[in-house]
Amino acid sequence: MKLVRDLLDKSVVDRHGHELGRVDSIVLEMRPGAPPRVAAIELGPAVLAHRVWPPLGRWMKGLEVALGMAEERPLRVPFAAIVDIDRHVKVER
Amino acid sequence: MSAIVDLILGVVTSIGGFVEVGSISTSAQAGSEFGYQLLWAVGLAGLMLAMLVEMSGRLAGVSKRSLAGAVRERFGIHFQVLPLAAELIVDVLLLAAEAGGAAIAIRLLTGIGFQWWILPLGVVIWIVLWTCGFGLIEYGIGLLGLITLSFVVSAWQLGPRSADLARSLIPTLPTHHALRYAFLAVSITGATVSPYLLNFYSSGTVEEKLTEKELWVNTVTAYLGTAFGTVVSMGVLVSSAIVLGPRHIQVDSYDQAALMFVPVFGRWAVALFAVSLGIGCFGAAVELALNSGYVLAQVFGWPWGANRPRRSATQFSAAFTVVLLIALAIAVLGFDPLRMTMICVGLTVVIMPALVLPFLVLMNDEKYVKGHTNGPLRNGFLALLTIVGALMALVVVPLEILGG
Repeated sequence: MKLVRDLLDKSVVDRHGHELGRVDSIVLEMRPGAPPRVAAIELGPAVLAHRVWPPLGRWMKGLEVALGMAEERPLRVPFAAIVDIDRHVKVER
Repeated sequence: MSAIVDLILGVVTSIGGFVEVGSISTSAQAGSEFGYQLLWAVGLAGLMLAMLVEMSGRLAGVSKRSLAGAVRERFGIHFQVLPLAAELIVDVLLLAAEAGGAAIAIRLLTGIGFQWWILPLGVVIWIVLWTCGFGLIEYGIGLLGLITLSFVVSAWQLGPRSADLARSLIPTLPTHHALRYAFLAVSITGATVSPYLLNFYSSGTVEEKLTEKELWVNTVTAYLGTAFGTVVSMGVLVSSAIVLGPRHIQVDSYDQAALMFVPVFGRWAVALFAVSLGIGCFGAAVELALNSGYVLAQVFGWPWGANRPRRSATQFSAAFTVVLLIALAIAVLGFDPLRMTMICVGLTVVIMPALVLPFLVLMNDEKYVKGHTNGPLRNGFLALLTIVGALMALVVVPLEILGG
């Protein structure tokens, strides 16, 4: 699997098929003496904005905090919770 | 059988939904200043639109993804962010211009200043968006919009010589005001090939659950609907050329454009023009607002759809509401709707290459369109359109300043 081609920016649904968002970011875990491993995917406007332009991400984060929406954002889904990657990325939630 | 009904409905709605502020103002200006000479630009822009609409529908029908969703997935946010921002800005400004156009139409009917009508119109638009499903919005607007066929009736009754019309379908150089001519040719393209139409059409295809087997319905609807719609735009141009041109009436407001109906419709002229303009603009405003909701929801991966209960798609509903509010605020500030239309049309041309380029990739990627990839003809057309689009994008701003 190619992460950027097959995972990043894909839409994410829960096990009932409800849209949760898109894969806005991928979290890699660095391991000494072993190749990095995908730990999780992240969903949320702030991480997406950070990818576009880091100051925009910080600004978006500030907005989320100001609006009291910072809890549960970004939504981080462990890689092990991914059930299927086809047209959507299906996650166990 | 249902496919045939879908087909007829689709073609009829394309005719009724074709004309709005952009096409009325650019065609009316072209006709009054250059006679039939720019008819080729209307035809060519129609052909470009038909091909892009067909591809948007094919992409959505096979991949079950809207255009904005597919671009995000295939190209990522870095490619998408600038064209996306530009498209949203054009959507908002055009929505303000359409609301202004509809309000001017009511002013022509009632005599009461157009700014008074913008907020009530906004409320009606929002109620339609909140309560109606996709089919009702699409077909309702399309059927009401058949009133715009009065432009074709007008042109027909004025009796243009068919040889003159046929000659004007071949591009020729102007004898005067070359910059203005070039500006209008580019503007007609920008007014016709609106980005919102493509994403709206692809989203509609997903909402209506078109299947791969019904792709022929998409092809016929796209070409036939756009062809008939283009005839309505040509009706505006021809009426304007015959009525306004010889009297040296320049279209710098909708009041003047309304005069093109006088010889054919007499004392009903202004009312009929106003109703055609009003319905055309109102329909486009509803579609623009809905499309901004679509685009934002699709890019961020939120649930979307006019066929869903709005409460189960809260972000989508919030998105079209906020966009509508911003556009209404701009319209209330009282910018001249006609001038705002011309600015939108210019901006559309600037983002044209970024709009066309993704088609070249998506329509050849079997992950998205399976066996229904583009042939060499359509790919050649897209490549040509990307190059011509890039050239037009380079010249449109200087042209807008010098010829606009």
